[in-house]
Amino acid sequence: MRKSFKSVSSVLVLLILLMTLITGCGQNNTPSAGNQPSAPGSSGQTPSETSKDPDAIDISKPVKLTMLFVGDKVADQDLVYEEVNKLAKEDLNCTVAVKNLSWADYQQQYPLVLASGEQLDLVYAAEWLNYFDHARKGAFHEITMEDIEKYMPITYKEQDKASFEQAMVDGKLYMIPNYQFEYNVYRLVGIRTDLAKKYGITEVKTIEDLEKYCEAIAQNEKEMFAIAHEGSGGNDNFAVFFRQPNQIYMVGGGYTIFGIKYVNGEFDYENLFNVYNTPEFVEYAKMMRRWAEKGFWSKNAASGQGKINDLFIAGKSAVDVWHVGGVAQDIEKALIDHPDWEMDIIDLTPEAFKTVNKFTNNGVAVSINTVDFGRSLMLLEKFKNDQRYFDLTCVGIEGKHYIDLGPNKFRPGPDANNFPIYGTSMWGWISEKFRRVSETEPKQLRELINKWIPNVVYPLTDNFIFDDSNVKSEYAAVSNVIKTYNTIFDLGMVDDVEGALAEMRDKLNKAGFEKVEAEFRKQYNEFIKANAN
Amino acid sequence: MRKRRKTTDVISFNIIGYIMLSIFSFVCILPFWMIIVGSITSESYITAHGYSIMPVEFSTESFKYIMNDATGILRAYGVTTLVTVTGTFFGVFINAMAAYVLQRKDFRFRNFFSFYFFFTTLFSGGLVPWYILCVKYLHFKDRIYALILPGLVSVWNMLIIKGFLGGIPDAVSESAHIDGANDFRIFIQIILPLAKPVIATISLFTALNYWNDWYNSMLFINNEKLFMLQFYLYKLIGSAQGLQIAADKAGVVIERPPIQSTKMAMTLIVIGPIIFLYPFVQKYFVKGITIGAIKG
Amino acid sequence: MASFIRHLKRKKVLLLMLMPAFIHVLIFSYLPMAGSILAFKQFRYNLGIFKSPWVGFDNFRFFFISGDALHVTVNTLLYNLAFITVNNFLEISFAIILSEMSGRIFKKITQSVMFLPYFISWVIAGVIVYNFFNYEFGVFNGIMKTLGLPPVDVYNSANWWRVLLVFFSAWKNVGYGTIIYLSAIMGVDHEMFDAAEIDGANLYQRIRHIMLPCMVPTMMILLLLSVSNIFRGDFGLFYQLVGTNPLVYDATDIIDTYVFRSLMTSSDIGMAAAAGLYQSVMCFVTILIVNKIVKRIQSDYALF
Repeated sequence: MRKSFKSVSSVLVLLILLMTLITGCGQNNTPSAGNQPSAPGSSGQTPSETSKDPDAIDISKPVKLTMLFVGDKVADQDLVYEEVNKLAKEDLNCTVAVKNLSWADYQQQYPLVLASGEQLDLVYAAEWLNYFDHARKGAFHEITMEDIEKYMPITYKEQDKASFEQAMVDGKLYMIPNYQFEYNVYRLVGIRTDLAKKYGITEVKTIEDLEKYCEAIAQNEKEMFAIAHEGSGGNDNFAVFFRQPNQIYMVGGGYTIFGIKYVNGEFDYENLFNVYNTPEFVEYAKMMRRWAEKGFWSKNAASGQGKINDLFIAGKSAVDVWHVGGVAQDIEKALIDHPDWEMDIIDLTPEAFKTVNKFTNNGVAVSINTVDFGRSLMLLEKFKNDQRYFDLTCVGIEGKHYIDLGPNKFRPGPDANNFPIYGTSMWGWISEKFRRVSETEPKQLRELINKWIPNVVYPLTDNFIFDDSNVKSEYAAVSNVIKTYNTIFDLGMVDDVEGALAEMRDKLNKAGFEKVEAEFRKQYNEFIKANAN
Repeated sequence: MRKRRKTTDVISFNIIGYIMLSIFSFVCILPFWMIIVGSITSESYITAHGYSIMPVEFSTESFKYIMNDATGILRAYGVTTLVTVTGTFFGVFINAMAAYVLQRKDFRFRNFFSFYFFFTTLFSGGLVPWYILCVKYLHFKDRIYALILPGLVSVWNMLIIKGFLGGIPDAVSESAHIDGANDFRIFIQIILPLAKPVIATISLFTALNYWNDWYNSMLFINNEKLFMLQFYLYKLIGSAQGLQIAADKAGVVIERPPIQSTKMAMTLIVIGPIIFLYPFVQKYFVKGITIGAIKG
Repeated sequence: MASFIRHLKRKKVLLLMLMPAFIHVLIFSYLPMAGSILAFKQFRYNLGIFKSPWVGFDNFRFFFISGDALHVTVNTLLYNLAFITVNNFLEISFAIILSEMSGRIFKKITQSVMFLPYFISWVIAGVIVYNFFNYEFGVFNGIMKTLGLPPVDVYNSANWWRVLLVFFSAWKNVGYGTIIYLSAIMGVDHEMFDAAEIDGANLYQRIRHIMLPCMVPTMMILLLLSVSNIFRGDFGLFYQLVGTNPLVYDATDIIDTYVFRSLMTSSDIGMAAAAGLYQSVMCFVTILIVNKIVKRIQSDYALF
């Protein structure tokens, strides 16, 4: 028996070795095959007979590009891209095919498709899709400033270089970020003023007022929650009741626990601190515990899967939490079914600084498996800076998906649901220049945003992304701990806040937090030193 | 069916049986009932009150939403049926054939081959190398065989068939051998008929596996004409969620697609044909076989 | 090796019959297996699997570093043991009941009904379970209230979860497993059974002495197949039902959920491969030992 097993295993080992060899050889050939035509600039250097301008880029060879989108294909996507391809064929002698990743499993599939080595040219990239990590691991083609100048001259001229700075990875650029100002970072609350009045609460302006309002709801409205958080909704508590009132800005991306403070109108970049070690955090965690005990949200909130926004609209939650546009829309949606409700958007900390969404939260990269780097960028330039392309890809076909109401304005067309406005990964090339705003945009929204604009700040640290390469094991273990305790504190799940904090610190230390912190501080200090002036 | 005397052992056995099965069936059917109710309840009611046991606020919006593109769903049914039938037929045949060889005691290296197959249930290269192989070397993109090939061989099923065949006396094969039949003919003409119950079982499992598959569609298929049912429905929900995201981004207030009730309706649409098919397979579990009759 | 080839030559029909499955497994399982080396590499997209730099055992560190590895591994093992025991017990019981009970229509219906949960995805099951056991509005506490009993906070109770996870695993899988055992019973020569009846054995004796022994081979195969996955958890069951509730992690965290949480931020292919390899090796060692024991007792039942 022993002998037979030995022979079995030796044959297996042989087989595996053989396989390694076979696949290994196959693997070796492919990258070079894929790279050859894509050598940057090669298409530009070949002299072309047809072009008169010596600097003109040769586009005599037709190419088929592939573009990776995150999100399911919408009904009229093919129709729209047929139109896009008509234009692209004429302008750039290329066509583009879109590959969609389903929302059902994009987290797993995105790296899979990048790793597969199949042809891929334009790729929707974003910080929330781990752009920095993928870029560091060589998934994207480097884009130099010269490349941008050459292939995307309008972008080069018009797009603020600061947006490129944000996307730099070790001094190299791998993504063309979008160029719009999205006010979707700052969190506001929406409340039901009709209910507030019912319980004699005349004014909700501060967190204390909100607590009183919630208390009235929790005591009297048996069918609803005050703040019906479910699942990961606890993050919103962290933002609204800790970060914003305390003027703290989180630094480093991902599951960071480091922040800086905004004092007297500027960020104190020198003092990077662990937000969990502050007395403010203890106070916040205790408040959340108090609120949980008062039943503001379900005891089982951590296991639920609903979204507070839907629950607010359905009348299950007395408070809505989202960014300004989100709350404004939720109110409009709620009014459809319940015209008798009175609601209001409230900024609980009007003095707090406001930021815009980082540019790197939406962008387009070029895959290393591109067949034509230059043409990819040229097409992207069209998407960004040619109104015909921009409108097609963002709002669809005029008269069908949208009605043109003049510059930067539109009304949804009859088939708007077949090509949702701003519904796909075209977020990657959206820009303020052509962005159309719906006629139906809630009025309050503009007012609020206009009030903010003078308060909007652009923290330098938006350009700082922690590189975990040196401590990636520790970082993974530490993130796990942070995620675990985030939920506990944000949803007030334990009585003994100090005890839980001590426990968290203990677990963090075991997970190698010291190493992560040292590395984080080292990188951060270097960054600040290099960028402070 | 054999006639049974109503003795105490039979009566007590039946009482225990009825009780156990009733309890378990109730536990199985309750959630399913909630799914049915959920699928015909209005979206706003579900958001506010969750799924209920008795129907409140009746609405067919979920089915309307799914049936919006009737040709799409019919095509998905078609593709799924084609894949399921082909895959099940070849899959079961290949697995059963291999299983037969593996349990032949005169096949000296059956242990080696058993291990060869079994080993793959323990170790796998993971998704990334597998995907690269399929896409780059086997050209699985947008091909119907991409939906059939990966699920063809299931070691798990193979070993279950092997276990069943092990119960058939060797004498059955040997006597046929002496009659001059080759191994393949023995397998087809003698073994397969004897193995009806396990073949029926494994066919059912294989068919379900294909029928429920959405992962291969998601990985390899970009052309919606080749979507399988489950993936088609997943995508429907995905695009409904996308619509929501889009509307929020664009500042447009849209009618909210019935995502939650659609999820429930989706389960029913997938399960439907299987429920109808099941009784046909079931007869093989209810009716036993008698080896003696064939040995005769 | 020479005898190996000689023997195969003699059995070439059998060999040919084995070939389709052999080749399929070779292509779809063994070829990609070479990619297991990712567990020892720092994967780089531009270099591919084989050219990415080696990093030794670095990719395994994240799992062991925090000291939770043992505890989640033990959780995975214990839950799977519980699932195997409970599910097999129920499957065998139901198979016997279904095969020997009277009431044709009742049997047909229950058998179909038992199969329904198999179609309900864990995502949907999770939603329904939340509806059922939610503290404030759940059906369960509604019943408790009408009975005048205090409400139970099921979701935050580790002990409840220990029971519920086993319960729901059975709920989803028993219908499926019952069919396998049922087909095993159907394979039994019924003449033996009838003969025993004539000899005066009562139903329980017949089950005990004829039916059960006939089911042992199937039981052993299913058992060994389950054991070969004993360090792999049912991610959907744990993740969709329990959700991200840290208060019960001690009782409900398994390798798969732990790794999922750790790698969410980095989506590191090498680290994911390392975790998978760890599970494979653990399973491999376990199955080698168990198979050896089985072989010693009754060599026919061993898998290989």
